[in-house]
Amino acid sequence: MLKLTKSRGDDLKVFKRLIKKNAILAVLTIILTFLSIISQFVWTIYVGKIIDSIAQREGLSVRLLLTMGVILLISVAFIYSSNLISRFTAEKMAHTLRMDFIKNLLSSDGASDEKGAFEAMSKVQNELSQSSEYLSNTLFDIFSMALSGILALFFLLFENAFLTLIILIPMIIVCIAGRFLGQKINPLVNASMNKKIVFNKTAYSLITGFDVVNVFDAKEFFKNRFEKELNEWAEVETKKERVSAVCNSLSGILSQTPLLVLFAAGAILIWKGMLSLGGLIIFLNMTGTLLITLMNLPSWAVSMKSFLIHLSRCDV
Amino acid sequence: MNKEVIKMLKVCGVWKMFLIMLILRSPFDILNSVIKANLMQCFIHMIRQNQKENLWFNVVLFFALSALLFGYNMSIWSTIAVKTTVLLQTKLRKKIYEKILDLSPREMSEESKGDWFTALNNDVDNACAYLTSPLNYMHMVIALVNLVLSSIIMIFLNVELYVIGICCLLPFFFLNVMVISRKITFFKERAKKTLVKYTDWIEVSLKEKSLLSVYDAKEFVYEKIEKQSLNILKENMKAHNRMCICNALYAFSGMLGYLLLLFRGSDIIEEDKTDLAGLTKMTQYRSETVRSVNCIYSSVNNMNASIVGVRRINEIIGGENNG
Amino acid sequence: MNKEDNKDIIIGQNITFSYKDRIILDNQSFSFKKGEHIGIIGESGSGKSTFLKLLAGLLTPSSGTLEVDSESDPAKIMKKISMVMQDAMIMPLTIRENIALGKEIKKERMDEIIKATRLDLWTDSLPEGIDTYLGERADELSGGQAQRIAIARAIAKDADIILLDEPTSSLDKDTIKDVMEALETLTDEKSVIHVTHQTDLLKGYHRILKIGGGRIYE
Repeated sequence: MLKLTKSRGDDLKVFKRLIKKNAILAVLTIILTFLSIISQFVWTIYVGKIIDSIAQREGLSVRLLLTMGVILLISVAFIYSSNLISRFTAEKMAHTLRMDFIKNLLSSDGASDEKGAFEAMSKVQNELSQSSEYLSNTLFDIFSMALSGILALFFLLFENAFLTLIILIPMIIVCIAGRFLGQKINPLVNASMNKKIVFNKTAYSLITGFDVVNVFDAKEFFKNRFEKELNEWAEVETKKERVSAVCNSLSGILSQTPLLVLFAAGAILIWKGMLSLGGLIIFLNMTGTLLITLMNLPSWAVSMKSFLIHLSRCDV
Repeated sequence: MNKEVIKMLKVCGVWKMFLIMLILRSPFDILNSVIKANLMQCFIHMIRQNQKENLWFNVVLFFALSALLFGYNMSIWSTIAVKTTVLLQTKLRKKIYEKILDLSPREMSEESKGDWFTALNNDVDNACAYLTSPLNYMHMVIALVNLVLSSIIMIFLNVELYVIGICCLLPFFFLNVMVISRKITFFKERAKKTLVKYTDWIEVSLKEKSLLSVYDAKEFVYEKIEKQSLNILKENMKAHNRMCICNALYAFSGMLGYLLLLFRGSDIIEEDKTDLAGLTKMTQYRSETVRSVNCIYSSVNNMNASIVGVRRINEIIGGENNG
Repeated sequence: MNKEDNKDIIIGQNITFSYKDRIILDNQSFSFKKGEHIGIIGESGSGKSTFLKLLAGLLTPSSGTLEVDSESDPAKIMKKISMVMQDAMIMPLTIRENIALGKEIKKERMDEIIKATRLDLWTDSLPEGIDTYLGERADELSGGQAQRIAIARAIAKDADIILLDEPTSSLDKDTIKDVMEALETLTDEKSVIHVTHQTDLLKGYHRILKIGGGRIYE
């Protein structure tokens, strides 16, 4: 088994090559995604300004409405174009991957015997397919959400570093608690799956050995066995679901804390004149993005690692 | 509820249990909406009125309300919901297994063994997913209750703002559902078929490698494969384009609705019909209606995929009753 | 043979049988005597295995009558026969359970069966003996071990009629020899119908029949 650092280097090599071959599109994707996120930040800032104006009963002018209308249209245009370009880039990378795979296949001496051909076909249906799927549907979405979260963090730090740091504390607690609670559920999920495999084996034996079961009059035996195994699975499944219910509910309760901390700290800062109501609304709109990024970062890292491993196995 | 689903639940004897579970879980989203909306209103009001003495009381109050709500949900989930879903799965599997046992050896030999195994697993999983998995029937009902009651609350609060919210939601929603996203599945299917052709060409180039060398036909095959790969790209991009339009429209309707609510809300505040806290409450309810509409749409799509499992199970286990 | 041994144990009269749009038997009559060892040969796809399933009661003829040890009801026919197939059908159970398939078998009888099939050489080396669970280990079993378990299963049932459907076709030469020795224990003093394409295994059989073109003939 390769060490992590060594395999990461190999895994990234293929990915870097794909990016290099589609460099212009990749750069365009990054720029448009960045602009899309920035335009939404601008929108949020102006919403904050509107809230402040309403709070101070200053009235909202037609000019402001038009400005917001323009920001809205620009923002939507950036959302559409960044999504489209990122998808196109991903599809182009998938196409490059497929063509590099076949180029390698046609030029190499491998895969000329039956075993090699079988392995190559297996790669097409597994690693190549999964890598293409990830590129098409996931990679740039994760990139966009991660970039959004990171930029949101910097933006909020710029807006009000103190408040940002205060709300980060419950967010990090929520993330840690989520992982801890998830670890409580995982063994039960595995246990349930294992029990399922057991009764499925019995069913499979019955179906495939149906003649033997009939000839040797073993129907009753198989019926009792299946029921016993099914009941054992039901017991474990019930326990798993109950623990899931408790853990997910606890996680849900904890996830309310960042919002409450934001309101409490925000209120204090507003009363001290260090923040406006509009500023609080900006924080309200942005913290959702930040929390999503923080909570999903570990699972994104896992899926990315899995993708890179599949990619490295495509023999391109 | 779909007749097939009711039939399946009755055959397994969990119909009443399922109904009770549904009724008990359905208020979750609306209660959550009410808590959040009132939390927004309460805090904005408290901040505006300088009510420093109420700060920690409000924090504790809303935390307690959320905790109670999640606690309620947890108690329903961990008791009735778990019992119903596990019982349903167990009974379905038992019934299908019994059907297999009742087959004659000839019947078994004439049927696909894979189909029976699929019935015991995928079909049962799909049927249960239809009822209780995320973004399926259960969530559709919960979202529907949320949508209806949030709408009623908004109408009571301010009809005008409600109408603005709905006008900025429904036309775009129907445009998305009925015009734009309808063909996404079609394009994805076409991409899948093209992928099959691509895979076929790969198989050819693997099997006939030596022949390709002898007849110097590698370049020829490469071009054929490239054509298929580009077709996959094209079909996928057609689907992606529509999805991008849907996302953009969704963002547009959301932002436009919020903007118009703020602007009209500002005028209403000037007329002293409400205050900023009340306006924030309305925007919170509005975002809940948007979320509910999207939840219903996603759930209906997922249910359409899962209902296949329910139909296949009903074909197998028939209409026998089990008390 | 005495008069009892001369009795017909399987009688098929005017049997017509088709399976998956193929005619296996077309108005054929046949009979097998008690204690006879019959070999059945034929081209690939002629319906040898399907014919055996017919005799086992797993399939029913389109017309004609089939009697196996005076029984014509398929469910009752199955009680009269034991079967060993090419695929040993090892299930995710213990060795004991694979042999007994839910039946009560006394320890002494089980020990006898294990010894007769020479499974003891293997089971004695296992920490849990014949209570070793074969679930995940089923893939590790050799062809010979699997077939011995199948033969042990057939011996345990102690039926008078043994149907063998190419039990050695996927085994190597040395393993065939071992499995055939175990089969001798099974088939001693029983009525045997053995489908195979390895005609050298049918030495000493009373009759060899051929099946093909809807007919069964010597």
